[in-house]
Amino acid sequence: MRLMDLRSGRRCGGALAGAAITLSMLGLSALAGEATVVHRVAIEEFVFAPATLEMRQGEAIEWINRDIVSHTATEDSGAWDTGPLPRGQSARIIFSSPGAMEYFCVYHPTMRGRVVVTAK
Amino acid sequence: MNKTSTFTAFALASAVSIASAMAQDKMNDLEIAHAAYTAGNLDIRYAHLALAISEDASVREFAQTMIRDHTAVNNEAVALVKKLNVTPQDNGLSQALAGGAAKKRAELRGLDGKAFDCAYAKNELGYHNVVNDTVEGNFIPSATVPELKGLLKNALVTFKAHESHAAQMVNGLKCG
Repeated sequence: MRLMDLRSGRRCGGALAGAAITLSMLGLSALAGEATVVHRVAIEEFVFAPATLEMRQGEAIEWINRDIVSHTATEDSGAWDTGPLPRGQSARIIFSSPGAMEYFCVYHPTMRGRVVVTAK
Repeated sequence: MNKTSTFTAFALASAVSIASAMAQDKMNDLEIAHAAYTAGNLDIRYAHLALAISEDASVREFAQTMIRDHTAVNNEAVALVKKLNVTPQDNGLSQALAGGAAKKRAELRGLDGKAFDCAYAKNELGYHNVVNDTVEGNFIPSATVPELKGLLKNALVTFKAHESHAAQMVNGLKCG
């Protein structure tokens, strides 16, 4: 499983606050202590399910790909990206800042999803 | 010729060819497996041609996706064939698909720039439409081996996404 910690200055509505976006690879043990809640999004039959996910700041999403072909979950402007997920693989991203973000699969742009992160 | 008529011409010609090939005999599981694998491989060949000729980002991204996805699906098919210890059988439909694709590749090789991009994109739309209709209307109902039927159903979801993606590419290229 791929693990990432997203700390962005992204505001609701998609405007950037100007803060740097840091995407770092973390070990499982380090991550486990940080995200108390992990939401799961299945990628199956070319659909993100659920397509829209509302969550609180500091929580994480784990995408798991159940299709034969590889997919990604990639924020529209590239602010975060799971990278390629072959069948059966998963990636987890922690969302540390509030905001509303649209994402898609770079290989299959008709696949779309939305994440809404609210302040604690 | 507008988009609709171009697509219709392709679909009709291909559908007639496929229907003719399928009408000769009801296809068995081994023939279905061969034809499905062949259809995927032919699209991979179209994609390699696109990567050799096109400089358009949307066309190149689509072509790379076709190579990646059809390779993944065909690898599943190969694994299933090995598991079942069977040999897929060549047949009239596989031959019709290969013959049609050879002609289309020859036509595409003579094009470049936007003319190539539009011809490739429209061909991908028409090709996936015809193949999807065949998989959904003939292959899946005719397949008797559960694993093959399951793989065809999964593949159809992938190929339908390709058809939507191809439509998006055609619209984005503004081929007229």
